[in-house]
Amino acid sequence: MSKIGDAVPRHEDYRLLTGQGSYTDDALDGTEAWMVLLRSPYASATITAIETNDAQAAPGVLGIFTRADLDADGVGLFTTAFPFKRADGEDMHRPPFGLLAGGSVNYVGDPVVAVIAETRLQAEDAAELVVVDYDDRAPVTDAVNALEPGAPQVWPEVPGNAAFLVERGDKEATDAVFENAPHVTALDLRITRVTANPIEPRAAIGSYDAETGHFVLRTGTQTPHRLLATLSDDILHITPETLRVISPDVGGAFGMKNSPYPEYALVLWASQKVRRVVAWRSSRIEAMQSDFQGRDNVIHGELALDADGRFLAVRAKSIGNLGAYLGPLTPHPSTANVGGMIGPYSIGAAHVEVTGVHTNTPPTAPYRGAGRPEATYVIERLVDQAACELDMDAVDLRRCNLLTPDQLPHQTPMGMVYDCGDFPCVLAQGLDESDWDGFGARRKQSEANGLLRGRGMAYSIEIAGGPQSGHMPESMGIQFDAGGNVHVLAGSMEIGTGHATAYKQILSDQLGLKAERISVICGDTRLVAQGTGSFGSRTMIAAGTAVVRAGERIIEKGKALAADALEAAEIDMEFSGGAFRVVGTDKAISLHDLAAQNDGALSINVTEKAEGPTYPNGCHVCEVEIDPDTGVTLLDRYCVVDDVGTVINPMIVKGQMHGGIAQGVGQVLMEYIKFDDDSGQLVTGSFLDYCMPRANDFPLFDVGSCPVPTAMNPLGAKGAGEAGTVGALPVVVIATLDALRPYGVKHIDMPLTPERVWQTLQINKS
Amino acid sequence: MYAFEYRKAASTEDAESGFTAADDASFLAGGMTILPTLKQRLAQPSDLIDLSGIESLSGISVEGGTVTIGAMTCHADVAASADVQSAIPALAALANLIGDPQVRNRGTIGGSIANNDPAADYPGAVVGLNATVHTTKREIAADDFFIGLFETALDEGELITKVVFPVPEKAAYRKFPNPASRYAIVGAFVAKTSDGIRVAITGAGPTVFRVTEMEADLSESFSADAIKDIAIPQDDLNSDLHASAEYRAHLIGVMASRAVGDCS
Ligand SMILES: Cc1cc2nc3c(=O)[nH]c(=O)nc-3n(C[C@H](O)[C@H](O)[C@H](O)COP(=O)(O)OP(=O)(O)OC[C@H]3O[C@@H](n4cnc5c(N)ncnc54)[C@H](O)[C@@H]3O)c2cc1C
Repeated sequence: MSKIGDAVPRHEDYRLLTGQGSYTDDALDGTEAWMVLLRSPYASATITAIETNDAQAAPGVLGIFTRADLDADGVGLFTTAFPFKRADGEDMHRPPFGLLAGGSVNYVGDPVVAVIAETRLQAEDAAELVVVDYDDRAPVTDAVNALEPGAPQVWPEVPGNAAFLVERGDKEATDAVFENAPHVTALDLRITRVTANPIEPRAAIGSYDAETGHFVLRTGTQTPHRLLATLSDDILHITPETLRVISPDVGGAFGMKNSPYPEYALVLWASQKVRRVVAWRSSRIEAMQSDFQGRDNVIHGELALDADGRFLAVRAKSIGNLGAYLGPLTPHPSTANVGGMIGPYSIGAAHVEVTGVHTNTPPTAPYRGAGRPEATYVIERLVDQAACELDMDAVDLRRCNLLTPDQLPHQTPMGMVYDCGDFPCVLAQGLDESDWDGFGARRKQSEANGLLRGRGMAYSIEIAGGPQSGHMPESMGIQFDAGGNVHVLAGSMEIGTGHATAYKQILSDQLGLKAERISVICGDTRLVAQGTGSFGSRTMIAAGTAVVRAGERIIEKGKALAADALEAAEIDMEFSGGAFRVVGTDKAISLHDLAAQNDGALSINVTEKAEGPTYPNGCHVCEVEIDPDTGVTLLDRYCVVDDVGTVINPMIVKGQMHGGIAQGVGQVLMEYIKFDDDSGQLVTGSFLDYCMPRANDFPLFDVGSCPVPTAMNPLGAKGAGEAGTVGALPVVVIATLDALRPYGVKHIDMPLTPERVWQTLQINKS
Repeated sequence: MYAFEYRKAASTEDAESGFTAADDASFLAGGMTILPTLKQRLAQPSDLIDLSGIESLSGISVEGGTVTIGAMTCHADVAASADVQSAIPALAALANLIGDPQVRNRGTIGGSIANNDPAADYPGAVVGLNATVHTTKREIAADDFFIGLFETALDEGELITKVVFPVPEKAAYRKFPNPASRYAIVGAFVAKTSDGIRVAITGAGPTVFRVTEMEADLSESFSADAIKDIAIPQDDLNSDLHASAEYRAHLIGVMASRAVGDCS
């Protein structure tokens, strides 16, 4: 019987690793019609005419649609619920975000015409015959440039391109501290734009049943129920009961598949139009152009310290590149998690100001960490820089500012409540496991080989299962069939993260159920009535809570039924080891048997919330080696000691750490989305130029654990999905700077590409 | 991808006559370049003439101080060949640096040099070793073969049959890969041959080129030090997202010095 804390191999793996996964495209049976989208070749242009006659007549064409057709049908727009204001106090403008471009196109890849044909090839051929006349304008893709006077305007309704101004913390109190602070460290930091590049690109199959008036959408998503609500309420204006969303296996999500997309609505709408099942699958190039992208911030951060190095206050002005349109979640990453700039430290005052900026680029949206790595990057770079300016040891500086266990719970000046943790202990273990002190010898060895070596440390802390106020519930159904087998109907979504294995462990542990008699079902809104979904490191917190609460209710219900079955009084019943027993006798009945005898009576649906969000935290240490002749920077060692609370399955947590670290290191060392400044064209439009990390770019990661279970949920779990990325972003840059500082380098921005590192060394040589 | 006729040639004559008969044919070797081009609708040949059935085009032989590699020999076979490894280890090592295992098992030396991608590796070895390219019509010296960006001395429909490499005294190849594609940003092939020292640089310019100044200095004294002060003019070098002309010029020096070091 597997228990909480066992490193049980993932039940999902055999299926997924032997090619038996079932992804969106695997449902195709060859009878579907195909949708191909004609996308904008310009970053900014007015559409003056669309001519489709030749294309309509092309072989196999079933329908060609433009925004005019959608508008005529009353098809709705994507909208965002964030209630943000502009700097002048007016409500922010919500640029019309339709399924196809309206009168203008606003980024390269903006979809303009949908072509539906018998085959994908025919749709591609027909799309080439569509003639769109554009009147193109100068675009702006960089958020800082977009704020310059005279910059091209993305939307006439947003003069100056500043969509909103969001403030967090206390400006007056913070500015007052800065005014009198003995030392202020300031940095201007750029956090690059990146994209998720899941192995399975976005794909969707839409069908409409004219007899029942029902729609079915099949697509890999993190949030099937939310997607259903958006598509039925906002876009198609149909009753939710007439739409079923099926999310099969998801071949990589990373936050990118947390948003609804135009193509998902288009296949449904087009299916009704052409009365055929309509399939769409993004090509790699389309994915690069049209998947919602991540990060892209320019941040001025400041840290105030007293003469002894005590942190007094932190403040920041951040510019977030939103892209041209506001997807439902676009305003989230640049604003929601800025509280992370407090780090694990005792800091009295803080103020952060975020300006959201429109540019001629695809929308940004959550991407693993969604603002958490960015915030941690700011505070940890500032701390490292302050140590350098004050000629203090960066570890000592952190240590003397860390919150201690007796200071918790602690409300930060940004409103987050750190409920528990032992930061000094995690830090000490991190230094120890990484052999921090052995660095000197390793540096000597590198130098003997003509290489530079740097060492860095970063302490990460991030909110999981948030937000701080208004964290969301999860739904869970547990059903017993006539054979006494258990079916878990999860409102969370399995996105390759092994949730099913974890739920089975929890239920085995709590109810004594046999893992092989439990099945977990998710990702089908008809089978699972209600759900929130998987994002923001929340699943073990939110869904885990729901599983445990459901289990408690089953025990409660079961006691009455067991008392009947065993002809005893309910107060004499106890539950242990998977069976109900009459206290003091050997009379017992197993839960499986009791369920089989009472068809359906033990089944239960719950929607439960944790007590509150949690704060996973960790100490990341890494070392890099740089070839000064070429600028090539190699990650040589990486160690993290993490407190993710109760570890349900250490193997899965390690896997999440590995993936999270790789994703963070990828951004620091090589990945970035680059647009041409003048034309707005995507320069990194394929894997020839967008550099994805490979396994051999990494050393073996050393992942340690120092768990302090939280009381915020019955499992004590804190969330592990984003933790690796949060720490990786700052620590790799800090280690690289450590290697370069002896050469006079004071600052470097990601990505630390060979040429950038080499150029930085040249500038400082001369 | 646009529709095209597919033909599998049985012999070089068959391939050539198929080519002449068609409107606008292309040869298909490993397909590692041409297939992605077709998929992106960047080319529209009327016919693809598949060379994979022509046995005489594949294979490796070493004799009389030369290594001969058939045009259809894939990179993985060159990399794994014990004969190449012992005769010209630098050539086997170069083949092993191309792309990834899938690419090495499909891509061919004939396709690579016919395509003459400025970032391809093989042109470095062909020029660095002063190889001879054999076609169905003639023999072309390495120095005459690579003309410019994606341009070679091949005529329309002229088929490469093999490449003959003289075995050098010593040779080494150093590659600075593009971090994304792993093609060469700068590849330096240095060889000590009976005809003298050759330094061929691929990746850095529109096509492979020799650095005669380095060759002259290395002939005086074959050491990394001898070329460390040679400044490479940036004017004709490529400049892109991954490497400016300035950086490429610098890397030529670094990679060539390291290759010289490997030879000693
Ligand atoms: C992911 C990836 C990574 C790569 N990385 C590298 C790298 O690091 N270094 C590198 O050097 N290359 C790299 N390549 C290219 C690869 O090595 C192939 O060698 C190259 O694509 C051409 O060889 P091919 O056999 O595939 O030719 P094909 O694609 O079949 O043909 C290419 C062209 O050559 C012509 N042709 C083919 N054979 C002959 C012949 N015998 N005579 C006349 N014309 C002919 C064809 O008509 C066509 O025009 C990479 C390719 C990919 C897809």
